[in-house]
Amino acid sequence: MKGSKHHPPKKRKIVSAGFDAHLSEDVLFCEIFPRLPIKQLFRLKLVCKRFNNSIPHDPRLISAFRSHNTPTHHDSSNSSLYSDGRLISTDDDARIENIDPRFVSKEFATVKGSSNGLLYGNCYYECDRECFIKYIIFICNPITKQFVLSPHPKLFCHVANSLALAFDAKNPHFGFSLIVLYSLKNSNSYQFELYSSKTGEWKLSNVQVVIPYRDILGAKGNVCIRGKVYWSLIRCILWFNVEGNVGGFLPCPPNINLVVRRHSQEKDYYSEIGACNGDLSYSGITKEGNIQIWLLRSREGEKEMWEMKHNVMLKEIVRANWNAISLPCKATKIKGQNRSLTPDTFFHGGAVYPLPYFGGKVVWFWRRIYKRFGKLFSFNLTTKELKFVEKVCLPCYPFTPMLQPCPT
Amino acid sequence: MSTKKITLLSSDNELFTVDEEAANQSLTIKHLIEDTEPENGVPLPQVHSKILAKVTEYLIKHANEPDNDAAAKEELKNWDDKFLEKVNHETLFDLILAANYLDIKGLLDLTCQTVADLMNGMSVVEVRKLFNIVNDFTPEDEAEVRKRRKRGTKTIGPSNDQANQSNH
Repeated sequence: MKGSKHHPPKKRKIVSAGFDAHLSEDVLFCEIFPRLPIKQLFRLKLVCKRFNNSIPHDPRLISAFRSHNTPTHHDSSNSSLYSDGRLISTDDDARIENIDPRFVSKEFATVKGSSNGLLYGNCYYECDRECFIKYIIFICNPITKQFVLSPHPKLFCHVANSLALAFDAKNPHFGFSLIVLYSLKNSNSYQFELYSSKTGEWKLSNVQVVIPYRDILGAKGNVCIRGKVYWSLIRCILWFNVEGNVGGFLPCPPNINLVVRRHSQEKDYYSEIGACNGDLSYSGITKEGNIQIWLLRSREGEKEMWEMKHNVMLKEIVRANWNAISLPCKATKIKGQNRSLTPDTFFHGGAVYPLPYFGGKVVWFWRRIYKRFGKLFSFNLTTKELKFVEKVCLPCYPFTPMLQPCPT
Repeated sequence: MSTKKITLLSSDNELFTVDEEAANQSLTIKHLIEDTEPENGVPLPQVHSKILAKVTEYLIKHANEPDNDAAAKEELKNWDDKFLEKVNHETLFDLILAANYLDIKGLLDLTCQTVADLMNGMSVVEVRKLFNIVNDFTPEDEAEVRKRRKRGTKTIGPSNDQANQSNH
């Protein structure tokens, strides 16, 4: 018995079902199990045969899990950040789980985003029959280890960050849609190409969105809320509604004094969009080093309004908590030079980035160390505790585990 | 506001009296009153007086849930925590069954979340003991499941289920 701890004593008593619980199976599967973190849930497979066969494919469990974790009700207790094949949980103990989607393709699979419990990206996939390698898009549920593959869009030469996935876990029978955003050359207008799992083909939408100023698509993710996909540009947010086939744009929150940095090659900016209990959230870092979190409130019959939810004075917090953070190594070696991280150098060069806010009491941010690599911190809004979580590399996507099978 | 009293009758014939408003949190009781208009108390043959005493305590406390008062909400939450603090596992499970049978959403949420929190971090053996589940794996089966879980991410192929079936 390599690797396993001491086994429970063998039971001589023979019980037909192996399931003689105090509680009925319905209560367990519908009410209790959906409240467990995914990792603990999967551990239960070892309890008895009945559990092993039912987790995670029991229909009661799937539908209960869905209603406990839908964006409208969920309290983000099950939400995590996904970075580099790992899941970093929002819980205080910051559990880290491996959910590498490389089960899709042995060779190469790059995650480009996440939407309602699914990860998507592109990969090379070897087709058995024709023996050649295709460049395609995958959509996977890393929890249930299922995936579907979709063809690559026709117009698109490289899948950058404009690829979005629209999928509603509440209505899985609608299937999914993929949307690619194109900016037309030398103009301020944008177009969309769509793939629907119902038709199985890519089609250019006739919708064109023209914005009144020049803008660029940042290297950040997009988010899908109730069938509406949002892309964050530097000065505005573009959206597209798949079902209604309409598109448009929104301004960014007002008076937000954001840091914008431009390299010669890449353009970088300091904001992220996310979904927070069914609303669009916008987190940006101001020149004063404050993380501001805004929510787009949409009330029926009224115009959508940005509302500031939190304003985190990061500089003061870092200074006050510096000695309490247990950084594994405060000195970082970059290009042979030792650069130690202190409260003074923490914000140097504008190296602090917010991460998408998805509700709850934790605000995540990220201190870049070198290129895409950096250190992830969490700030608890209630306990005012600042914590070093992990070394991570960008991009980080918010991810809510779910048991819904992959849509087809 | 109506101050009509409702009498509940436990399985061991003990009577409990609560306001109608409190009793209506239980959809089962609400429907029983609407349908049968019982005169000598609502009979609840599945609930023992020991459990029903706890349930009525919850119902009375939660009869007037505060909507916007943050302080009152906080107080109620603290009360909820205290409510289940000294309850043993057996009573907790009986409360879940009662909440499920009586269809009291708040109590079901509260008790199930307590069990989920209890289970979080428990080992497999502890979970078996908690729910009185017999381990029906043979040592070979168990080793196989462990192996499969560890291998996890390396499982390749879209038809995982087929692969599982062919192994059996």
